[in-house]
Amino acid sequence: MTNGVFEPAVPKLLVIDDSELIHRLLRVRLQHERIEILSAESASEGLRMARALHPEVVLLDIEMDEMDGFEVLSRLKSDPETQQIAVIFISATGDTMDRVRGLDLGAVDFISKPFEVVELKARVRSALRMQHLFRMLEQKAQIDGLSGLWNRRYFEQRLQQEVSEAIRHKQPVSLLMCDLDRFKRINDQYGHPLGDAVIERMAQILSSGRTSDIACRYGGEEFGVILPNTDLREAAEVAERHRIAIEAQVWPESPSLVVTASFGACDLESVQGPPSPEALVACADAALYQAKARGRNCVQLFGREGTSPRREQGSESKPSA
Amino acid sequence: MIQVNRSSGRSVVGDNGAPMSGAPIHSRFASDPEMREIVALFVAELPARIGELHAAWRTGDLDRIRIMAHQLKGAGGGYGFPDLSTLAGELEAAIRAPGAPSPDLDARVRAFAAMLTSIAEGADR
Repeated sequence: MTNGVFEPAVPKLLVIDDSELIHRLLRVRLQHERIEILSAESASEGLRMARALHPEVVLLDIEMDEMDGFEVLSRLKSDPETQQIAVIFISATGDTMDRVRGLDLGAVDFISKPFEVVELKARVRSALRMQHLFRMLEQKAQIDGLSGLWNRRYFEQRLQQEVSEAIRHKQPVSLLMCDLDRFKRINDQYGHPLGDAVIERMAQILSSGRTSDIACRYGGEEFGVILPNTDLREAAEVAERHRIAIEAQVWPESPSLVVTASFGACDLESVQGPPSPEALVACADAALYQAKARGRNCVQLFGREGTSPRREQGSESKPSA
Repeated sequence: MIQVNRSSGRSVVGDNGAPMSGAPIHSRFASDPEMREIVALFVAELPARIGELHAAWRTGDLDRIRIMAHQLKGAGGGYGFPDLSTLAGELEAAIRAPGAPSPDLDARVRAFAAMLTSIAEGADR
């Protein structure tokens, strides 16, 4: 077998069972399958490993001593970090109601103990296939067709995750909200195909930044960029680089065209009230609104005086106007 | 009541709960090369389990016996000892049953210990 770097990642199977005998048996019986087997010998260890290691499939013993397997299953299914994992539960009782309960709680399949090896392998393979298709579909549903960026649904879900993560680890997280300036005018004057090209170029610029940044299309010509582990000062630098990049774009199809964008930035520490993803969006949006009011083509930090020096020439409206 | 093993149709435990035979028992997977090593380990660990079972029974630690029965119920078949799974399952159920300990518990534990011994004695070598 090749051990090449070009093979896709080996899927992980987490076995949660409080019997060491079962772990030993599965390691031998599944040794020739293309999976990495992880072993948890208690319910709590299993939950912890599921959160930390994101296995594709969990093989869960329903009858454990420390915690009922159904309880483990419902915890896995109610935690956003683990709810996508395909769970096959192992039922030793052969009780129909137990199986119904497990499937209704969100398990994809079950197997009876003692299990036949060929059946176990087939069920694990089937769960992996389903999981693979599910992930593909899920990713497709989260990507914006025109820009190729993450869509708004993904944005909201991911922001929630990053904010929770930031609070838990006491780390900063920032958000840029960004809007193309006078986009309607570009569409009207140069036509929609060029408008689409501008959206695509903007998407390329926003996603060509640091690898940890998460660029999303928020709405028509509005974008959101989540910056994990980034404070407001760094966020301002990232935004400024993006602002300069879009302004510097040359449009061979329409040499007279200059495209600019306005940016509002906020970090979790600066939001008013309790930190939440909604508050972060509201504050970054408020900053963006201010950037527009200051005359566009600039970066506005929430709760600070204006920073970005370069503006569009000509009339500049007052912030309150 | 006579318990009948579904796969063999043979009675595993008689009326008094005693094992039907004391002949050495071999794993169904004895000739399966990928299983040989862990079956041998399973069998080699049995004397310790039997000792633990006796100790738990002496001290009345039914919980310990129940956990052991539960684990061997789940694993027995996988290691090629389906009758062990059946017997262990019955013992576990007897301990769990409301109003336990049931009067035949003593016989069940002895039958369980006897089967473990038969398996330990079936070790190839």
